[in-house]
Amino acid sequence: MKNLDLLDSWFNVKLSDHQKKKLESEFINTVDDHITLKDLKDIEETFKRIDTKNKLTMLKELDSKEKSRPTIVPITSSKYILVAASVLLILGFSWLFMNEDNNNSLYTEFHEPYSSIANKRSMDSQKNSLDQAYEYYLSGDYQLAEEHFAEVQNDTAQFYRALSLMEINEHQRSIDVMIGIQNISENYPIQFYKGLSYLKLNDIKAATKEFREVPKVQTYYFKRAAALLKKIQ
Amino acid sequence: MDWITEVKNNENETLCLVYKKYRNSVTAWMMKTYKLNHEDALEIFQQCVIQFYHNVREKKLTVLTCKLDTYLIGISNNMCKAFLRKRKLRSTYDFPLLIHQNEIEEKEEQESKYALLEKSIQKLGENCQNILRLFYYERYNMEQISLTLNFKNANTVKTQKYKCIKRLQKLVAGLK
Repeated sequence: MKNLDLLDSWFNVKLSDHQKKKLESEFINTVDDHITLKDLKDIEETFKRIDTKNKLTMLKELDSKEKSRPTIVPITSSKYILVAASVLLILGFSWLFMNEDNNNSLYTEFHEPYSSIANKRSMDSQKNSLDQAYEYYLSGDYQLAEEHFAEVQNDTAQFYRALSLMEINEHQRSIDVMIGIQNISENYPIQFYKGLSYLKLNDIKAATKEFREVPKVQTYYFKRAAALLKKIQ
Repeated sequence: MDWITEVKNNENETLCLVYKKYRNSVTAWMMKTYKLNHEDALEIFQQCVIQFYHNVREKKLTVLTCKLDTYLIGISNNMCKAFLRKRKLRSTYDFPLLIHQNEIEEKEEQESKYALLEKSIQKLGENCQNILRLFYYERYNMEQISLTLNFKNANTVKTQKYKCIKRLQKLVAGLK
């Protein structure tokens, strides 16, 4: 790990070009952990490629959205009333669907699995179940994580249970669990995640209320909630 | 509008705005100057917007000394030339030149390495993906990552990052 620290310093912006070159020449070959500077640079390049790919897809989608816009067809005056009624109906339905689409895309944009769990370990007899649950959560097996968190009766475990439920698209159940742990410490961004679940269920009013209640001390989530509120309105 | 600050603060929204605002004028310029068809011009313009974004990210572009559309036309100009050179080369030689053979093989090898890494990263799980992306791509330090991802402290992130690297190594080895 010591060598990895040295290699990592290459990615530190504070190093001058000269220092970087020196480091490169020292670590041109494999080190203890079979990790080379080239491996780490490859990881950086891969993330750049993933980012590029995502952004290209986003731009291409803009074009395809525009292409799929309907064209205007001239109509005769005798059909005006019928057409106006149909347009109103269509607008009503599209408003509903677009709203749902918009909420889904906001959810996707702002949702990221809560990850501050690396050092959490239980201290009592519930150790096995809780540790196992964290392991499942970390590895992305949210179904099993939820089942294991459900066995542990403390607020933190229940918070992670709610998060696991969100990951498996069980938003109403997730909200129900979070309502049961309203008095959890302010360090846990419960309002933010509850808001996201409401958003996913298209309950804008409840989502807005939750996002407004994110405490200022949760700087990161407070800012994200503010950004979300701006977009919802 | 200060486009550079906008990209830094809200990259996706700004890139979409830039794309929609300048797409027609820049692609029209490419089609007229280089006699490209609309599809090719559009594809080059998409690459051009991405290039602008990376230039801002990597701090190669810190101040815009001209209008943004002039800057985009500058990038597009080079990209069009490279595109036409490549197309000409492809139509002249339908087999790879021997002198470039080694270069081609090396490039292919590197490409497959990136593809393998991408697959492995996708299998890592969100937690590790976020840590590695923030550290190696966004160049956050451990303290910033711990605040962003809500970790206990910088040391926790460091330990977790080490585990993620080892897990990634295993995944890559498993996929080889």
